[in-house]
Amino acid sequence: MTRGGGKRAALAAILLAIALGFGGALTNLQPTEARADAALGASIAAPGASAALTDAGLGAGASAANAAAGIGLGASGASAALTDAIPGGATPGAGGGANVSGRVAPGPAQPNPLSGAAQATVDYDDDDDGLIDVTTLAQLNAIRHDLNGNGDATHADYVAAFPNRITAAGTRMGCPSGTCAGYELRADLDFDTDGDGDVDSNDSPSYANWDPIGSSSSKYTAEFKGNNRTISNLTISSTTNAHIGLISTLSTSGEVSGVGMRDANLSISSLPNNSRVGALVGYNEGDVRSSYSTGTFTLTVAGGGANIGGLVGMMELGGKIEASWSSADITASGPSLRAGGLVGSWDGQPATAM
Amino acid sequence: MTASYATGDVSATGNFARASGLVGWTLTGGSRVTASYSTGGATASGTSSAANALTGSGHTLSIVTSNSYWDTETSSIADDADSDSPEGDTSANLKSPTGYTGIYSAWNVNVDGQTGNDDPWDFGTSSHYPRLKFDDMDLAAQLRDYDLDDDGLAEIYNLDQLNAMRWDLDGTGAHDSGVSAANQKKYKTAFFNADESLGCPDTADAGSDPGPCIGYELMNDLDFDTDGSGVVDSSDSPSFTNWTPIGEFVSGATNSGAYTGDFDGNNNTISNLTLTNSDETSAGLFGRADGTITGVGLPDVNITQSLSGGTSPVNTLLGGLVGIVRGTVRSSWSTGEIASTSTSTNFRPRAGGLVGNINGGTVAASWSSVNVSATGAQARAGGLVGQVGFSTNGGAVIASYASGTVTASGTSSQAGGLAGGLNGNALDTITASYASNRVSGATVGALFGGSVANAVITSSYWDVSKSGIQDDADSNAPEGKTSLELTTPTAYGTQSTDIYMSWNVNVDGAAGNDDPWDFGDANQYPRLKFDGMDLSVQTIAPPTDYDADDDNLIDVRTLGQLNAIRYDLDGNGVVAAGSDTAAYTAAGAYPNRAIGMGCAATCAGYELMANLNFDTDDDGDVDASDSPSFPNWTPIGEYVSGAPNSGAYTAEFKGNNRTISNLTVTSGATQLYLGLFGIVETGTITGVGLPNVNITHAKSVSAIGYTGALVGLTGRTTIQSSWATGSVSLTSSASHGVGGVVGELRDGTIAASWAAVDVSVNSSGATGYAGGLAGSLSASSIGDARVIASYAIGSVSNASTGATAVSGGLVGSAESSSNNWIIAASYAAGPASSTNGTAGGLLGRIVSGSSGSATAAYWDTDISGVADDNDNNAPEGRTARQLQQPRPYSGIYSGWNVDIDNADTDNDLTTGRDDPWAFGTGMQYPMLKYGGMSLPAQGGLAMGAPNVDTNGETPTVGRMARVCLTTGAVLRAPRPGSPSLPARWVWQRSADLVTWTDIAEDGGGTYEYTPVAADVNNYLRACVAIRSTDARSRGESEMCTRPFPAAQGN
Repeated sequence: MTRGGGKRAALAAILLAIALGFGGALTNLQPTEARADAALGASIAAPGASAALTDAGLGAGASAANAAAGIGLGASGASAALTDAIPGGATPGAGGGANVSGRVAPGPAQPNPLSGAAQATVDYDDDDDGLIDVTTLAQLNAIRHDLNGNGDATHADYVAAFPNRITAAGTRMGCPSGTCAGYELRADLDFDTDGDGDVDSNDSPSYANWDPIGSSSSKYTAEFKGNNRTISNLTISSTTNAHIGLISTLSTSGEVSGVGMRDANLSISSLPNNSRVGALVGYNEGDVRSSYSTGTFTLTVAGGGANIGGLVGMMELGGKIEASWSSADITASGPSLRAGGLVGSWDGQPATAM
Repeated sequence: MTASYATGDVSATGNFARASGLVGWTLTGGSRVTASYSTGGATASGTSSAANALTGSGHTLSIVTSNSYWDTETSSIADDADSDSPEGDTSANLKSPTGYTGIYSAWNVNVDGQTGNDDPWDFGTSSHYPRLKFDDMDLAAQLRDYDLDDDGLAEIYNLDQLNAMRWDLDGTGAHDSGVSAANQKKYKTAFFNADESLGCPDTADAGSDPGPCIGYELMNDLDFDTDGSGVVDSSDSPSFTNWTPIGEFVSGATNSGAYTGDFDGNNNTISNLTLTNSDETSAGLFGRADGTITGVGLPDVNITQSLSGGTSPVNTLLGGLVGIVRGTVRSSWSTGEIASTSTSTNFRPRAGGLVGNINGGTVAASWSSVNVSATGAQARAGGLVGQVGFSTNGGAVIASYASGTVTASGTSSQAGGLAGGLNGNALDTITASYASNRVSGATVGALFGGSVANAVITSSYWDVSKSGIQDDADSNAPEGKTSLELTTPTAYGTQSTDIYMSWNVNVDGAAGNDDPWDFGDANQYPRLKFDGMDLSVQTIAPPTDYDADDDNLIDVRTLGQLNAIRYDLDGNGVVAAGSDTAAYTAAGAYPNRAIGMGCAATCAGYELMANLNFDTDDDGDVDASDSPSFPNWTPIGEYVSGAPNSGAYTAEFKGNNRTISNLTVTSGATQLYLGLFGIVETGTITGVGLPNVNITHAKSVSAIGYTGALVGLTGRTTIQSSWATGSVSLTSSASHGVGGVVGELRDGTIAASWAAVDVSVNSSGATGYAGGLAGSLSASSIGDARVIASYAIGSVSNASTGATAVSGGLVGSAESSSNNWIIAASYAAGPASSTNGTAGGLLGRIVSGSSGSATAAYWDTDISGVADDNDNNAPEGRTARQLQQPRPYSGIYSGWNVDIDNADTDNDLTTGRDDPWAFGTGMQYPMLKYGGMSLPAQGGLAMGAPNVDTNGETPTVGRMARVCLTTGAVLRAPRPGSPSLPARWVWQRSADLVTWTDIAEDGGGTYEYTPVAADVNNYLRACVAIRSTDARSRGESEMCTRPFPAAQGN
């Protein structure tokens, strides 16, 4: 008996069929043998049925393999699919095709002792939408040094927050066409970094008393896109800034969208007179959209005139707010103050009659 | 402002202060608020201050609002100051619309300034305020009311919320005092943006004011295996690989630590609860629950505890759902595994499938199929409850059942089908309940473990068919029922003989009986339908009778069952201590077995009830792609060093003339004795066919070993009507004996058996035996070693290099230290050779000094290549023609009608003859027909020679046609039975039976071949080659007739 090919059982059945087909073969067999032959003959069908199942199995396997390959191609070829998958640190390498040749993912952010030497740089606009990626509190904090959002800043905090950034005009920060137009959140941020329920000096980095980005005279003029991500536990306890919030003042060209300010804690016992206070924006001349805030405000202003809103302190000069909400509870005291659940006060000329 | 809202409360204090729900103040005219709303309260105090519901206004024209509203109830502001458009409305009216209808008909607005409206709102149910969904905004973050149905139970949608319950043990909807700031944050994060008291109404005054919740309720199924990977591990998000129970028993502070709220699962499930805590005195989803837990399903709990150390004795109370129940558990269930093991007398494991201990509480309309085990001093294991009652507190089990396996072990341990133990207090009750499971342990009760004392057991039963327990120790006791009795009723019934007549009981304590049971059809156990419980997950199978024909032989219908025999070597259906019960009862082996396996009396072995094939996918290979996969069979019964018989199979194995195909053993098997069985002692094997055995092994050992297709080594064992084909090839660094059916036969009999196995051995030890049927016979003072009415036709080769390297066509070596070796009424017709030693056509050698004989036993001198035996005592060789031509029991076969079964027990072969042989035609060797053995298996072309037409004789179907030819004779191969069969014949020649050369093909359509001079003194064979179009076997495969020496002349 040859063992090649491995179709022994089937062959035995075929051979038996050959034998049965041979003239006179059965005449010499006992009746019991004939019955047994019939039984074996019936079993001939079994290998065929098994083959169908096997083939089906192979087919499914091949399909699965193809599907897996398809996913792989997608991962390397379509960086957009990974937009929301970027983890906390700047890891442009994960984007595949979006990574400019010659740039590699950095290790932990740290000063480069070989400053000036050839150094791998980081693409901080991984998705090439012209918005600089914000994935850390330090980066959020650094925006104050680049209020027009073009990425052209040299403050030490900014440099530290965006290590190995590209500074050359034309490819600055990795933005296409060399011009950045603002910032975007690519991670949920929490000022209570150690999760102990308090924003204090134990947190790292510690922003126990947030200094609003910009001021009444230095407005944020660019886009800040939240991508429906959240900034939790913003805490402000004292400030001399008259426009108070994550962002102090949003200019007519400024735009904020998709930001969730969770559990903002504004507890300020001596607000500047005539201040404007909101969790997201103190004073809004621009556009706030699809954003929200929750939290608690406890505010006192001695001189009066404060404008306090859950999301935006005051809107003026055609400022807009759309598809936004707040559940912040506000307790404020002081003469002539104005407090609203979403917006404190509004000197609004409607930008669009509706 | 467009499509926006505010829900916060705004309070302004000061002269001229303004407070408003949405916009505090407008300075100049022209502001617009469109499609927006507010619900928060606005309060202002101070000279000339003002509070407004939606917007404050410097003067009446300064703001224009359209289609914007406030909630007059939550804000407590009925109207606003101006006569302008914004309207207040009730909470219900603001929530009621579920689309852009009614007051929201103009709310589908343009948000982004681009063309078209943006459908920014999600209206949810009529219990939801409108929420914003524009641009994929987070809807869940906007939910403030976690009690949408206002039933006082806060609603849980995810695992983080479930986990957060531990920080609100009184279920009020606010974290408890004393909770750390970090855990406060986690609680608030889990119920993000929640209203005060999570939105629960004050149930005390039935009002809508925020009020304390009374507990939680589950709104959907949850699964701890969040990524569906099959394991709960760190890759799950959130990850709870070791659940901390909610609430705990605090020693010495009986009223603290418990979860005291209610929890309603709403018949949702929480899957894959995993807990390995070793320091919890009360553990489960809840550690201790004093409230009411209802409608929770826990599929696949996985709880293991390992307890050690400790300082003072405590009961460790473990249940899938609750460790200690001091309140009520109702309409809840669990499946999975719970095991608690204590190595310290300071921890007494008390484990139940659903509840660890009922301590002044009730378990009603609940069930568990968890497999429960508790190990340790005073351990208690119960299918549903570990221990009922504690101290002066009783415990009640009503309308409940358990079906998981229960095991307890340890000093003073107890196992019970439903409850591991009863406290014995008169307040302990079991009512209208049952257990249908297997229970084992030191002190075992089918329904409850231990003494019943004063407890009250009413209308509660256990399954005798599964537990095997006929009665319990107490005369007051409930009754055991067979599975048939438990399953047959289809209703409560009304007669006193109806066992479920009293089962329509009050489950919930409210007035009236609750009709909790569904009895299904006559094949189903009672299931619980109370309060909408899911019947489909309640699957109790009646126990399986694995001895359907009640012959006390356990049925083997699958490879998994064949494999499981190794865990029950004495064949009584009871897994021996130290063996693997889990493997024996695994799916595919013997799960859910009836007590005693269903044997009429005590099981005494196994029997094949189906043909089995290790090549399950029929692809020609026994490999990992088979299912189940046994690419390297571990023999059943194993040599145990120093106690060689202790690991042996000792029972009957009855093949019923069925087959086990493609048995494969390859190098890597560590056993000394190889075969389907490794070692059989005082056993009986009958009617087993092993087609196409493939044993190829190279051993590097120092101990002698034995290999046979069926058994490596037998002692005091009978083998009957069994056979094997294929090959057995052993290389060993130690002595080794190899046989076609059995390696070495000691003090026993092989009768009416045959082998067409190519046997080879290459031992570098002292001895190497090879025999076509048996490697060696060995008789001692215990009895004879006999081969009766058997034959072998395989090739036997021996390349051993030791002092004794012998081959025998039938038996390699025969010896006796006492009694006799016996070979009778048998023959061999295969080539036998030994490179470095001796070869005999029938017997390789007789050990010096042995007593024994060969009687009417022959070998084929033509085909064996051996003209004579090496022993003077030997049987005689015969030519093929001499072997083929005699008629039944005449001539040389006149003594061949022998007694096989020894039914008369006289050990005389000549009395009680069994007519074992079929002699066929004058061109066939004898075949075995004893006991209905298959003749085709012996005469099929796969083993036979081609049909031969010599000198014009009529072609005949034959087997082993050893025909003496001269050139000019004609060989004829069978014609295909089907003209369309894609087969062809190839004639091949070989000088050594190893290398074959094609010499002719197909005979020009005549299927004939005429030998030529070059064929003289060579072997010829015909092979049929199959050209297959089957995708699985592209190309050709061949199968050959048996070779025969050509042209030796008549």
